[in-house]
Amino acid sequence: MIKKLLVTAMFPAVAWATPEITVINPQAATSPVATLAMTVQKSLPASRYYQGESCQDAVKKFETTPNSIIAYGTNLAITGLRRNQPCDTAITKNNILFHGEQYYQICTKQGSGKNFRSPGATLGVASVQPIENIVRDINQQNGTTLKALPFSGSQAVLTQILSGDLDLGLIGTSSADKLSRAGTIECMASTDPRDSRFWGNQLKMKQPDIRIQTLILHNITDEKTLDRARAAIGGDTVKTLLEQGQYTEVYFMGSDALVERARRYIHRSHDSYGK
Amino acid sequence: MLVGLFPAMPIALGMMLIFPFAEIMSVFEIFIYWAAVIIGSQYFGSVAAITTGMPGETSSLVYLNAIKPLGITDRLKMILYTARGSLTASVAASVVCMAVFLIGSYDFMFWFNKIWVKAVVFSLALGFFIYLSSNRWAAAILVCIGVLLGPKNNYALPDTWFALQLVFQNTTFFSMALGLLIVPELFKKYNEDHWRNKNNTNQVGDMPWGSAVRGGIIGSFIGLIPGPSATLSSNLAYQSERDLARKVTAAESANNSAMITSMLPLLIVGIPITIGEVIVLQILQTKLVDWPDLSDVGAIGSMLIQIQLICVALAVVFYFLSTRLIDFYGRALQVLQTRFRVILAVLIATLGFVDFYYSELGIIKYTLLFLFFSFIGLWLDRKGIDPIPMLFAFILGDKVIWTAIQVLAQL
Repeated sequence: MIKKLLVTAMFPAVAWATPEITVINPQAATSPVATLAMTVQKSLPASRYYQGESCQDAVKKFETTPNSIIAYGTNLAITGLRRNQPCDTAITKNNILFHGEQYYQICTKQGSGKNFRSPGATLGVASVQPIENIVRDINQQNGTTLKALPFSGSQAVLTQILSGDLDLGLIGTSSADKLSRAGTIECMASTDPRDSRFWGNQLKMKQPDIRIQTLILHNITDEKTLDRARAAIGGDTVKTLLEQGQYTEVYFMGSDALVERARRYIHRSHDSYGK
Repeated sequence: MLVGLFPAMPIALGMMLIFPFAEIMSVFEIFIYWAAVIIGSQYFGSVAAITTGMPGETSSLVYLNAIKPLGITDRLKMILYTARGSLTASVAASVVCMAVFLIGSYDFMFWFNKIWVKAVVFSLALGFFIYLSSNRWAAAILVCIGVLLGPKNNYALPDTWFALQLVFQNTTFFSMALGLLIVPELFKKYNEDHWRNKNNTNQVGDMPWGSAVRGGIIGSFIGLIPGPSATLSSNLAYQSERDLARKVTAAESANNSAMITSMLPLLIVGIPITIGEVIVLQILQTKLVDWPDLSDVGAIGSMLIQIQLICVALAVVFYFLSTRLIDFYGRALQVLQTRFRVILAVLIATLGFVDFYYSELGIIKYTLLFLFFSFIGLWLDRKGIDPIPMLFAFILGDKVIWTAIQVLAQL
């Protein structure tokens, strides 16, 4: 509010012409979700970008800031449950502006010869995923000796694979496809059940379909402002990004089925790896 | 240039200013703009730090207290030397970039991201600060506090630490720097003799070309470590030299070359390792440019060589800009001394406002944190303890903790 008053004092006409929309990114600044949030903010006139320092910081900002939208991932709700932190926010069919999903591929550096069965191989993923519990489950059910390595984000996983320090890493499908086409990395498995390399067919585990389920939620009450947000999210710039990011299950309107899909995924993941 | 000259303005903001024009800009033009922002911010960041004593960007932090005793003549010499050093380093870094590409060794580029390499570099950087401090125990405690407060968005931390992270979340570097370093200056008693004696200092000798080259080489390699590589390299280069002129020249040379080599992973394989690079990649994605097309090595090489040549050209332009204005800096320093306390108070208020505006904090939390750091700064000043190790550890803290977690997980 103070900031709004300061802007108003300097540029009164601009400040009151259109209500400002705050676009909140709750995940790491270098994550794919951050790219989505930045793109939405860029497409929205009269908006500002908020980088949350943690999931509870971002959720609190979302719930206390009128006219805000958040690029919310179900993995945050799972992390919140796992860490006993208030990272969950209400998902209803009316507050969903966008729903999309991205799967991971499990990759190694080209020619490394590493796989799930390699003794003591390291497996890394961004720390919003409960990698220790996933690896423990895989090792128990398959007799493997994988070691879990958490990272700040997907880019950190990728650079660590390329450095040769990380044997296997979970990388977003779009980045993985691009680098494997170029012969820099090779991907031996996917978390997408529709993929022929689905790791659920190679390993026994409680929940192999690990994904990033992203929802853009809003708390906008004014219809005109909401239309502005809808137009930006459904615009060409964001759609281009979604295509490049290989998002699946893309919807630009909420429904009971989507709410249920998100809710079920959160609870299933928490039951499998959250405890 | 503005991002560097004006403390508290984040480098990422410089990149974000391009958004409205991205549609009409070519990929090459976007890369040139990116290079201009990062190189300009380092050049003029040192000008702001040496003239006003306020860090234009975080990599100037390392020598901020050391240059306090310098008079106007010595400070102007330092500006000239750091500009020369930065130019030398930019050329060195560009040569390294082209060599890495021509050798075609991705392994070499990513070798600097190996966990043990990062662990050694971070340990050396923090260890030097403690070892070279006049009060090692105090420096060690401040480094621990800085590292403790450093992590962000780290879900691998134990619960208690995770909760502490929440208390200090969204703390800005500049609120810390203003509180710990600049506010205590307001309360110091200076008389006319102080300034007269200061202006007669002659502590800066001839241009230390060797330090510029060494700093440039250190920065060229450390730039390949993801994260705050410019700050890290300026610290290592600073600690590796002996007298003040050599130290400052090496530090400023290192951060320039680090900025240039940090562009390599994005230019060659499309992996961003700094926030500014994430923004560049995002701009390219929304322009439907899938950079880089890894099947077209020729196009990548051509772009890389052009960008490096542009980097050298930009460094020459910034060199002339920063040295031609030397008389202006001299006058600014004289004005700063005659009305020291008033100007300092105005600068603190202005920078505090700008920092608050760009921060994610509300006014109450921002003010409380600012007062907290000011109180700590005043207390440390009374005890004669340098707060810079804490600030430096705060900047590196996030990466240090991630590296430590990965080292422990591998054991």
